[in-house]
Amino acid sequence: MSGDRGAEAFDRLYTEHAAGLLAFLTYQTGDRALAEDIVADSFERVLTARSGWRGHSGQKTWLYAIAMNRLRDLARRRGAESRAIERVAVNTGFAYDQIDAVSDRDLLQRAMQTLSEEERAVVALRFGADLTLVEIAEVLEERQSTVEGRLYRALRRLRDATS
Amino acid sequence: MSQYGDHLPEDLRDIAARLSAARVRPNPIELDELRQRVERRAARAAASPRRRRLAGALRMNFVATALTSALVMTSGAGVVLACTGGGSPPPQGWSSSCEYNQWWTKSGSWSPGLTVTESWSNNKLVVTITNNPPKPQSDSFTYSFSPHGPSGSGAGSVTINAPSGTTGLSVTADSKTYVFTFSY
Repeated sequence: MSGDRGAEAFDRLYTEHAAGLLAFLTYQTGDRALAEDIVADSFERVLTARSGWRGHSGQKTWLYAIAMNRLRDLARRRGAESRAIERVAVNTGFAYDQIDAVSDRDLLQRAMQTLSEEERAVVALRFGADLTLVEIAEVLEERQSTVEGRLYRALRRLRDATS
Repeated sequence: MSQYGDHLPEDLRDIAARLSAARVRPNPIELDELRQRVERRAARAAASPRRRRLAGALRMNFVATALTSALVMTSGAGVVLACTGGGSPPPQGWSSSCEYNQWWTKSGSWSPGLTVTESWSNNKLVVTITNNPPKPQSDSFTYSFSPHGPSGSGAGSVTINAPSGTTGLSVTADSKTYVFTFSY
């Protein structure tokens, strides 16, 4: 990406979507610092995209698709190291252990980690990033009805786990 | 909760509202710091090839002869090669125009999105592997230099100083393996 148009497009993309992307990734990973790393990595990929990106109608879902790819890579690498998700879980657990009064956010975040990765992604995209079901289906490359069913299942599990 | 909350079944609206209310909301300072991180990282990534070009401009006193060939172990993937840095870009291929230059950078690209760039400078071979395929294909890959390594894995882009005596490199991405052979 180069030139004023590219810089403006990047400014707009960052301003509009950085907070949502961070919220999605925090829900998805349960780790704020890790989520920030992936946000930085995803936007760096946007900045250095070789195709001369100038912004386009699908930029939002494209950005989330980049982040999803980074998440998958991270999960694979951690799996290869045999410590994977445990590290996130340990970090999360440590944080919770330090807090006497568990807030609703903490409770929800902990419950999120009991969902499958697919269920968590749908919930995090919907309620972290505030994506529509259509956008989620596009990011995950799945049918909207599949996404919707998964979302309802996940919400019921979360409701039961936190009630 | 957004405007789509109304479509949720009644029994799920409360948990949906709690999830929306509890999501992380970074403040403007946090977002600005994060953005500065992004820009620093992008600047570092952009500076790397510039440093290589500067080193090349010093005209180190050696002549490198290189022949690189690629064997694409999959059906029908084409190879496009280009040479820059030591002289006029060749009309096609890279070995004939590059081999007598004292420094060079060249790259090979495979559709969809895998690029290997080699820079020969100051008696060192620096290899950058970049994998930027269209979604949903992963950008992760593994690599191995022959005959004595190193081997490793990466995602997106990785730059490696190839050890002395390197004769080849294999890169595996999306279950396909690409093999380079170097000769000096």
